[in-house]
Amino acid sequence: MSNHVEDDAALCERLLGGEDSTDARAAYARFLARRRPRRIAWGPIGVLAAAVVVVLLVVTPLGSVAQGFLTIFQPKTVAPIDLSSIGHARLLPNLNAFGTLRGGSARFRIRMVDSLAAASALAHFHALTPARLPSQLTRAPRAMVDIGERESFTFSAEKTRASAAQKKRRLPAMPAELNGTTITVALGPTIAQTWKDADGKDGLVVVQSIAPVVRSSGASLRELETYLLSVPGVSPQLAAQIQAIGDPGSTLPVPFLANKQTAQQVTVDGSSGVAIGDNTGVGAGLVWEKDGKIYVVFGALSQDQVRGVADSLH
Amino acid sequence: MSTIAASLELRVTFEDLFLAQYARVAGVARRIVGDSAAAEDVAQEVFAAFALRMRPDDAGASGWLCVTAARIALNEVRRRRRADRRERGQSRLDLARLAQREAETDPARILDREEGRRLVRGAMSRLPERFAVLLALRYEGLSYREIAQTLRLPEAHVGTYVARAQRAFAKEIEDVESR
Repeated sequence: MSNHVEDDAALCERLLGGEDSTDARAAYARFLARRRPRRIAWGPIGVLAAAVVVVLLVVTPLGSVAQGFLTIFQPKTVAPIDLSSIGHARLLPNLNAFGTLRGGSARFRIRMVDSLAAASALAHFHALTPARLPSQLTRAPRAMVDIGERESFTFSAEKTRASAAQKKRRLPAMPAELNGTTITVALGPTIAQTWKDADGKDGLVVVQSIAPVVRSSGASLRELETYLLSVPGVSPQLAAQIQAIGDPGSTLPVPFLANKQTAQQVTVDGSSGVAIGDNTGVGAGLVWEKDGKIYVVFGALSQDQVRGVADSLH
Repeated sequence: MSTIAASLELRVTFEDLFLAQYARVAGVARRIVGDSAAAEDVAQEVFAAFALRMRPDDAGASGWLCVTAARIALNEVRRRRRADRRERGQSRLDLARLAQREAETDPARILDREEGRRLVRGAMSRLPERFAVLLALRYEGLSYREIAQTLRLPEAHVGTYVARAQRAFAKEIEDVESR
């Protein structure tokens, strides 16, 4: 019996054993090269784009304590916020149930322009552009300008009661301090430049925007935050992360999915930023605030390449 | 706060993980597919799947890579077996192609080596998956403790399972050779 076992082991060793040399560094280069031609993985990039929507429509009203029409949100820094645990839970409540949104009706706000100079003139700020680009990208970018807009939202206890009755769902009663409060959100202007890769697909996007400003006519941060996050269906994990932001009045949350991406706090051009993605070349992005502007660089690139583009902006 | 803090503490990047684990992943695959070039293709596929599904700092990342390498390699040998059956009647070995790939000039040695690989692939493709995975991990050099952790087995039983897997593998080889 023991001979049998030894014979089996010897046979396995002969056929299955042995060493092989591999070059992990070269294999990694092949890995990147094989993955780069794919389309941009819109997962990480979509999340970055969603940051704008989430922040401007929903998160930003959770500003700082303010009485009168004061600025309650004007980002001076950025911080990652993980949306992976939310699943199918509601991101944040639909604001239409709680009041009335005005503005935001300019239907042709986005304009294509022929040059960066034209973009700067239209947006009223000097647009930066990268001095160095990854070799797979074409040299001539497309540029577009969003001229910006101003939106306001007024909370209404009566509309909240009516929405709850109509949809037969329970909504928490609106505190008296919140009823009648108007929040205004000033967006942009924003300039976006895009570069295509050799296959004609979007390979790199550079966005720069005047940082959004949110003002409140009444309710305080805690009242807004406590009320909106108490609505049934809002993810408790998201609520906990928002409540954990140290200085919500000046911190722009950058959403990412922790189960698919990495997010790291980094320094870009002397300012704090958030790097999302990794070095697989599938998709990576960088978001930071500098001198009243928000910068976003993302693409079907490695994090190092995105970093190189960001560092070369001039 | 803990989620934000955790995301900021991510220090293991995908690149770090790739460079640290690549040799082992390719090695596990080679025990099953028989040759290095095919094993490296499997390893590339494993890391591509990892990038979509896992995070570099996941506690079970290393084990996931090894087991996935073994499973993708098994799929590959089963696919090849089906293709071999379809192509039966054609030349089994293209010596010129093999000679070029291996920088080898002695046809007898090429045939010998290719025959060994064919035996391994055949035996592995017919083994129960748990035995094939176990043998691939064992002969790639994983300790009994690492195997126990990776396959969630009691460490004390790993030796017995390895002996059974070796017996099953040897029997597959004997059956082929006695035909």
